[in-house]
Amino acid sequence: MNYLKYSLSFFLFFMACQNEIPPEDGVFDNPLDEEEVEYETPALTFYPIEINTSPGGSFPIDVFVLGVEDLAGSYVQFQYDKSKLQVVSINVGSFFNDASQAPIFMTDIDDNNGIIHLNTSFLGSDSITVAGTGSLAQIVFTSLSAGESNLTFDTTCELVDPEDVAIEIKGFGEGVVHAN
Amino acid sequence: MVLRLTPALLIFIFNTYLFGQNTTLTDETKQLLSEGKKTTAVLDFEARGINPKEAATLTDRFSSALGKTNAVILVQRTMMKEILEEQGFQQTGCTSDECAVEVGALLGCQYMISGAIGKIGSSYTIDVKNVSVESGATENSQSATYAGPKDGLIVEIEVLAWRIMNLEPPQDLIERQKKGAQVYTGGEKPKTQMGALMRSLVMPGFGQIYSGKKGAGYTLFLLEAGILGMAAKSNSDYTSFQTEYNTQLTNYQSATVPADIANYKVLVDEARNNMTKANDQLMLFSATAGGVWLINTIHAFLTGPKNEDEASNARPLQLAITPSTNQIQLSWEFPL
Repeated sequence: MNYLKYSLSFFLFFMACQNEIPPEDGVFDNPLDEEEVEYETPALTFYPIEINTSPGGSFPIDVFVLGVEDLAGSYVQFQYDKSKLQVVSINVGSFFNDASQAPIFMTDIDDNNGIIHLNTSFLGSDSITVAGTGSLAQIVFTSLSAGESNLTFDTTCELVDPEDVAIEIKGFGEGVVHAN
Repeated sequence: MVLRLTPALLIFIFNTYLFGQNTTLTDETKQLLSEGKKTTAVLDFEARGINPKEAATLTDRFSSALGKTNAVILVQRTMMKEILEEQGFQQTGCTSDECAVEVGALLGCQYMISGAIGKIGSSYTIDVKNVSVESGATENSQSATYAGPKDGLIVEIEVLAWRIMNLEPPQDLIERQKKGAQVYTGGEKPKTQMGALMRSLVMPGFGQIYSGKKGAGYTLFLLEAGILGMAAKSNSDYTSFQTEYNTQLTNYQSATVPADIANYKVLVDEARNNMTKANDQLMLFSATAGGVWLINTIHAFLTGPKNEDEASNARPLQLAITPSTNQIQLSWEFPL
């Protein structure tokens, strides 16, 4: 009887020879993937959407606009936890690299309230626009203390076309910073 | 006064006359005679169901063992044969007590030992008799029954050599009797079905090779090796596709351009599909390898060596598959 058990054990051993296959769902989590994000476009989001850092460490984060058409100007406002994060620098994003004209890029950092204001626009009336998905600005933060903090867009954010007509923003992504 | 000579004395005188040059006793023999030891000769044991040559060999072994008892003055078997041949006596067929007495008288010895080795079913029987030449009476008779490989008869007959002299066999001989035929087969265990099964369990085909079916053994071994090779190849493919999957997933997660994102998604899906295919193949080949392994062990057991002991212990009720009809058959075997 024991021999039969050994034989069956061998058989089951071979039957157990299989590898793990990654799941189909939940794998694609790129916040810039318009097919996978939970919200509709046009939308504003951060990239990376989740950052792990250590207290005292610096990290860049981009403000992205997704799936926009005929973007001529933008006003973006978002809030950060001033007790945990400090703004180091803000630079214009790569979305405008291919534009025929460099945009006017203005920033305002409200340290007291932990709010950042970003403005982009093109001079003249040449109907210079950009379309698609791209980075409006890149902000470098320094983590001040340990803990989790969020980066949250304000609903006053605005995207406009060359006619200064507002483009509806249908979704906002929220950034998360983990400092451990 | 009438001198009455017993037949034995007459024969002794005749022998003395005939083999005068050999009647000079050695000092050792004289001493043995003075100790009261009797001259004894051993007739070839009768073979009943075994090879006569084997019976003769066993008789020789019996004589050797009898000599070791140091209880008798043993007539050398070669000498005995020479004397009988010169007397024109055919030892073959001399199995009765009367014949033994007659031969003993010819040889001039006091006791004759005769015996028979028979086979009934899978058991062997050995019967040994010690007959007084003078009186024709059976002084002692011993018998033994043994079941097992023939090699075991050697020990059995040695034991009987002691018992016919009413002596207890030495302890080492008793031990050898307990161990049976292994003593004479160099410790090599007889091949069994279980032995074949265990070897096939360790490595496919080894059980069949052990049973002497080398063709089937090598075929099964190569078949299993081939299938395992295919399984290993599938596993290797899976690992490659897994690496590809992880690389493309990392590329996807770090992509910021929509076209790149879409492209990497396709590559990730492709790598995942390839992983699934490789894994399916791995499972198929693994299951096949397991199946072949299992069949190989069953085959090794069913076609494994069946020795006589196992055959005699075979159960009368058996369940088996008939290859010609591919049907399961329940058979009941009983002796008529």
